[in-house]
Amino acid sequence: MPLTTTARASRRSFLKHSLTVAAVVPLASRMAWAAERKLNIYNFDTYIGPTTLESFSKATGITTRYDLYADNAELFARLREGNPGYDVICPTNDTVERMILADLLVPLDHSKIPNLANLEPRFMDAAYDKGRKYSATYFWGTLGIGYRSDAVKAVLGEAPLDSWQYVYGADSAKFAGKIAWASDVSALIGCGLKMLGHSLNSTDEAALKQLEETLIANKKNVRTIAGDNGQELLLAGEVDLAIDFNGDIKQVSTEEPKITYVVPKEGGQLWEDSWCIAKGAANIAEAHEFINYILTPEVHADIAKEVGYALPNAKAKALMDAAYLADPIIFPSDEVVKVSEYAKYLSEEMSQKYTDIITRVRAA
Amino acid sequence: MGYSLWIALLTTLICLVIAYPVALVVAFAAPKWRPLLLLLVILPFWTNLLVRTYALKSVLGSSSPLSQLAEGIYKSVTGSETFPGLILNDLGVIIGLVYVHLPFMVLPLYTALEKLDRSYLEASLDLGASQWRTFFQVMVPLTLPAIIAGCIITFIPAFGALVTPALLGGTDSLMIGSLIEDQIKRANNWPLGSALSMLLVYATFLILALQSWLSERRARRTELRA
Amino acid sequence: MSTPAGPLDYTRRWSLRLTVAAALLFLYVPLLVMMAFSFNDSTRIIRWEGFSTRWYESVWQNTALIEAFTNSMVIAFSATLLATAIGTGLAICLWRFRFPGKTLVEAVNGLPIVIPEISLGVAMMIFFKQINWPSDLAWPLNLLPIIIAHVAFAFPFVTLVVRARLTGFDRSLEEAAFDLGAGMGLFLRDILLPYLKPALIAGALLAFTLSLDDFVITYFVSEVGSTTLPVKIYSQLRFKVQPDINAAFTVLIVLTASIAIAAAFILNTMQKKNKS
Repeated sequence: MPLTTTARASRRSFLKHSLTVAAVVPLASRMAWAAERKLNIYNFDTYIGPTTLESFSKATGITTRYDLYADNAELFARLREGNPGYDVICPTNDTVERMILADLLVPLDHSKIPNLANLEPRFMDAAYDKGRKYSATYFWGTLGIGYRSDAVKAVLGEAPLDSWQYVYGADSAKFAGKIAWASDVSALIGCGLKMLGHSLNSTDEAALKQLEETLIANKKNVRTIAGDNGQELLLAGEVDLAIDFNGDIKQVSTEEPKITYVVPKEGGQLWEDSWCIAKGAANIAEAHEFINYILTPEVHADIAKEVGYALPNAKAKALMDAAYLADPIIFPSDEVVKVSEYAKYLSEEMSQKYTDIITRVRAA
Repeated sequence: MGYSLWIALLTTLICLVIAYPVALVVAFAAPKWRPLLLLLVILPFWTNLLVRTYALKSVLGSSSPLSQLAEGIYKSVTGSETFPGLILNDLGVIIGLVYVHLPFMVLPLYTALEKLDRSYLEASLDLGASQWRTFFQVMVPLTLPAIIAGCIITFIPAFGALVTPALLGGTDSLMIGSLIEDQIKRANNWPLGSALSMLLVYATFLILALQSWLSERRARRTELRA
Repeated sequence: MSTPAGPLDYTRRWSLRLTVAAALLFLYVPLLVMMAFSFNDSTRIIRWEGFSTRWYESVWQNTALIEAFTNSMVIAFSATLLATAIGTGLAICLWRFRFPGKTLVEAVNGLPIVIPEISLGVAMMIFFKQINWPSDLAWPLNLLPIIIAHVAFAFPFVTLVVRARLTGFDRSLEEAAFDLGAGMGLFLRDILLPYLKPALIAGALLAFTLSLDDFVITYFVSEVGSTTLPVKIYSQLRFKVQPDINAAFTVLIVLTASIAIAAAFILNTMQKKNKS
């Protein structure tokens, strides 16, 4: 019985298609129906090892397509209007949360991903995805301050740059004209709230008001509000302090050793990118196989060598060299992790409030 | 809003001043060279906007020779100790927008100048008018529709620009384009995003209606004369 | 050649030549910097680390980049052709005929220019969803939604440019043509289109440039497996724009410029021969 229904349904949709594009159908490849196993991956460019997909195909016989998006908000907007055909996606934690709420993800079948056991215990549960029903962590990291150590030493001497006060607070005057904020809303507001002693995700009116005033008061010390290019500004010498993700700073620090990175003592923002299966995916079995393959220690370690982000995978970490594991930019100390927080997906109303604050700060 | 308006107006004006002589030279070159010259003008724009803006950024960045030259001049002229820099401020936004939108101005101007009846110019010069007077009283009126078209397709994209202000602007460089994007993408606020878009739409209706009215009037006048 | 410059020899006036040279310098210096850095032996585009051709080798081996580049070219050429045809047609109709609501049509024509890309992109994405556009077409048919979207936002630019040129058209030529018994087709082919040629070239160049550069709209309407060059570049921004992108654009620019210059010289010598 189910068979007939599907057959009828597909015939109907086939008819509908042919009516819509009667002119192009003769050329259309409907041969792709073949038994060939396929997988459509949707992720950032270069956010995977150069040979990962090839070896995955060799190991499993699954042909892959690797398509690209440029930011999480675009990914969300694209999938909300109906999945155009993607199976696995790799959103950041607050977007995962938003997608769960919008019912855009398929629950993971943990029995099909035995390699989940390789992950460190703290990645087996998450506030944004209770019980890890929908997501498997790929990489994680922090958001903090990238800086030129020589320039900071010239101002602070031996005292460490250890507080958000130097970028958002009164101490920013010491680096006037040499600071780049990040335009990312949760970075600017979340980390600002941390400085004031609140939660990164605080929705407290008074706290937000206080933050807005602080930001407006200290904006004069800031050179620019960078999009995703704070690290470039540091490398080019335009600024000495830039709020940015650790991975970005890691990349430029290999070219300019004077550039380094700190998560202030008040705590910063933690982030996680996780593999998920998009609702409407046609190749769910293949998607599970892919996620399991990525979490294989050797595969995950190889990708980490290319990407340079922090691995959540204990067995993969065992395969990495000491320099990587001891790198303070990649792996923050446990104390820092303890005081840092993940950005939560706030309600649309709250996101609107955040955006409005940024707009007022920028226009002030 | 006001900020975007000023930046876009200034960009359009500067584009016009730079593009007019360029279009003039291309249009008055020997016919066989014209397509080639035109292509040379537009070729830089076939590189991606991001790549182009990054390249411009490295040319104008504070460690570039150009910026250091500007710094020397600025300091000696104003006696000031600090140099604001060529980028990461409003100047950077305007230079960037002019760079990005120049071909939008050159192309329509070229099409008008190319067809310009030279006998009008000769007559004006023969009658003793100076080159400048000929330019303002003969050439500009005759190419007015193209000037308007060029200004429209330069001003509107500059008004809504997103990438250039983000990469070359300072802390105040909040253009309406990024405002709309923020509202739609981050806050998921389609109503406000659309409302802001509608502002742009109304502005265009106004400009286009004006242009349409001008060309109607011109056409009617030509008919009357004929 | 040694004749003194006449009053209208604008190409031979030093003041103008200098202005144009300065403008070209402004346009080309960043481009030359980009080209120079495509030979840089570093993974970044900011600092010089020594000469290398490794990025050219890497372009050659980067099938994903070549695929994106090919997609962009196919889209840009098709969209340019269609947008120029539609834009010119609309411009001629708006100029030739008077009908009620003409100003409205003209204003509506301007809409794609004004509506922010992101709104236009999402609207088009919803449009293709609504009409049930088939999502599993083979290459190059999977590029059709992008081509359609590009035509939709590029043709108004063509219309504007062509309109601007048409406003000065001598209508007596049209009357003369019809008086002599020429039909509409003949009039278009022999009189109007040759007159519009510079505007067609300008409009086509504009459409091509717009199509080649578009990211936002393309992103929202693209089907699985139709990555274009801008989508690839913007997606790299999270890490860094790869240096082989510079190499790819250097190849595109140098190739186009050489072909154009060679074509101009060949035409030139052919014309000279014909004359003698």
